[in-house]
Amino acid sequence: MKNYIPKIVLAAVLLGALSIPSFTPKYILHLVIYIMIISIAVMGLGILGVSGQISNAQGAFYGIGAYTSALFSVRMGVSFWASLLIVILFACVVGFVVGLPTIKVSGLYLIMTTLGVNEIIYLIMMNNITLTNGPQGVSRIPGPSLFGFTFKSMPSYFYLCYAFLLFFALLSIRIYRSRLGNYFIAVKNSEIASNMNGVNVVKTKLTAFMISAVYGGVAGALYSGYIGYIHPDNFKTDVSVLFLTMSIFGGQRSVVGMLCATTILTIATEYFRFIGEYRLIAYGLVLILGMIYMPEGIGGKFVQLKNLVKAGKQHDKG
Amino acid sequence: MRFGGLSALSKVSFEIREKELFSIIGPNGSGKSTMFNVITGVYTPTEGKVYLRGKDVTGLPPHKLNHLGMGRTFQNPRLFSDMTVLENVMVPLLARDKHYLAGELLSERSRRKNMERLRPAAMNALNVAGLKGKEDNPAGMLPYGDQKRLEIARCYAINPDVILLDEPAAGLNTDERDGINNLIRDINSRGVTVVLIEHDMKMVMGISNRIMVLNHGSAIAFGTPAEVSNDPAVIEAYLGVKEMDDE
Repeated sequence: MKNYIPKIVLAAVLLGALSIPSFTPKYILHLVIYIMIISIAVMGLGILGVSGQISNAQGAFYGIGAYTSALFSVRMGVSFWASLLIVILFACVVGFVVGLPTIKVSGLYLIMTTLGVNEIIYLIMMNNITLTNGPQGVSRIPGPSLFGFTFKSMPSYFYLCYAFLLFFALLSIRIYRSRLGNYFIAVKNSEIASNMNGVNVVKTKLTAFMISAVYGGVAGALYSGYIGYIHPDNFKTDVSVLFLTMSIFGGQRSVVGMLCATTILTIATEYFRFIGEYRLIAYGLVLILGMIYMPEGIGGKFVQLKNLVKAGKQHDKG
Repeated sequence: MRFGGLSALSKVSFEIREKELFSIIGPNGSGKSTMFNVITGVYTPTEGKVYLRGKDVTGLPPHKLNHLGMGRTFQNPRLFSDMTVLENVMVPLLARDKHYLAGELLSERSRRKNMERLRPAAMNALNVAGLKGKEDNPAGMLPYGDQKRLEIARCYAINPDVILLDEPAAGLNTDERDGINNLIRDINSRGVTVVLIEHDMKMVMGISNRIMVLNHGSAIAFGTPAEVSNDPAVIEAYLGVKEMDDE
């Protein structure tokens, strides 16, 4: 009977979440939707992190998703869902290209390389005016509709994002548990030993990069459909740093951990709005303290707690 | 297997016979590890060829060679330290057992089924390596001797044709050395060709069928342990020549 308790709790939380739009004020609901959207991008970084890679370009993939979806629907009248397919394909291609240098570089150099990539993509959004409207941004983005129903109201968008978040969270968990997850950890622990034990390291690393890019891209498409107006500044390097902080603070192996970290840091951002740009100092502090006191992130603490309970049970039996 | 050419190794050509225990010895910097890296595809030789069972495998990446039945261990154990002992051994088994990923992403049951299917081979390798009962331990927490055993188990799990062991006894105490010695003999007696790099001469002389001696990137001697240990060129390489003007 006891084994069912976590499942019942999980089901209760998932079902309970459905009632959020009915009682929360508009502003909070907006935050919740925003948290759900960026959680998808953060979970993408988690997949990358599990394979031993780090990217400071998730903000750019988020932007690519937002711009691709927005431009296709505004200029060519493509529906949100068709544009989503284009976003996924395009994110795969860009993820592949950006991932190529990672065959050779890792660690600090990878952080710098991806930072450069983010800057390049930002500059394209800003300066290629014919393609992206440049600093004017893209406005009047129609957003998704399904069978004649338009996801315009906030509660409806909440349910849409909820479905997406659930899907991508589940996908992450399946990836972590599958053999692909095993390859990721193997490559992270030792590339040469993985290679000598039959794992195609290059393919594995590129796969991680492409999956992570798709997560970022889909999150971006959801964002542009929600907010209706996008600007290059929404996808600058500080966004990438924020996403990276969230994923590391959450513990890149734990989907629940990353969701908690995204929620905590987003709410903190809102509360500390009054100190303006100094918030970034707070992120840095969170990252440093987190790495010192919980190197495995919030998710790592969950695992510790679980082991403690397990040990306690064994103690009771003994 | 034939090989020749590369600046760190020049004009070394040799053949390892099926099911033999072949050792490569030589002073530090003589090219032993380079030789391993060339054979296993980590380096592509600038000149020369590598053959596996008569097939030219020069330039194939390591993971493809592993799929063809070649395993390798490292001087310092390179384990997947975030995994359990069993998971370590499962990696090469999963990597060569293709076309199941989609199913595993879709259902937990399919993943379990795949794991159960491959588990016996992994458990067998752990049994052979004497790691039975430790399969759920985190690999990163194993004592050094067990880490060395786990590396051997990992490359034995795929039932390879040939395994290359890079100093498997380095850093071990006498008892552990004896254990590794027996393990290598055992694996060899199960029909696996073993190529060994080792500095422990007692061990090398005791278990090898044939030995190749490298010095400055070239092979200076070939033969059975007895032949090699009496070869003047080998004695010279290991002990140095007595200089004439000493007197």
